[in-house]
Amino acid sequence: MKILLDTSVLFPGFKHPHLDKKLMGKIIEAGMTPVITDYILIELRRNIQEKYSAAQKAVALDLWLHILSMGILEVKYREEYLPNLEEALTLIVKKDAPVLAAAMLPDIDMLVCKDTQHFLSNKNIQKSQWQTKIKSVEEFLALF
Amino acid sequence: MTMETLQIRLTKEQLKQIDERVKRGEYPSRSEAIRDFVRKAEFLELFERFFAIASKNPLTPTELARTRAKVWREEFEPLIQSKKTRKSR
Repeated sequence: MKILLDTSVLFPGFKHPHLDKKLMGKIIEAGMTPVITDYILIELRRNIQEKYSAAQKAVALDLWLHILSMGILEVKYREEYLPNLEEALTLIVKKDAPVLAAAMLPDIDMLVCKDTQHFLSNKNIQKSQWQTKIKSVEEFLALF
Repeated sequence: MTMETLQIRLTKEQLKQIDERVKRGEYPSRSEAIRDFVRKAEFLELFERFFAIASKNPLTPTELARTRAKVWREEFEPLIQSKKTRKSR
């Protein structure tokens, strides 16, 4: 099972950071594959660059390079999900469309995110076939 | 890669779980299963370390949205525009 992780669950925010930690543990424990995209990686890099001191930056980037080198995390690149972008743009705001486009890939089973406004309570998505693929951290943890 | 041999003690239940996974074909051997568990534990530890650093300075939803909008504008919008231009030619 492949679980696409949005930036909002990879980077601790104000909303339930303890659940984010639990989420990755659950994915690994259950033998699922965590997935991110090139778009999410660019965002992560920007967030790290803008938010942290030089020392924190060095540690965070080193950790991410190490995480990626382990090969447990799968990365989807734009060549693969760009064909879904047009449909995604009809359902969601532009900036979130690349994430939804990746979630539409047939081998992605779920997208876990925290964005209520654009993903979880999005009426267009709720009316579409993609609704069942999108879960909040709480919903995901309740499933397994 | 050189492998070291060591003796480890596991509970009956732990060994049963490993053997079941080997039986199901998830791992070719007990050793491979244990190596994979160690690798995954290391992966989770790295994530926890990142979280510990990042938690000191958490992101607000507004900051997340702002960065994402910027990445879209700089990385994807030009890509979409150039695709549209190519199509219209």
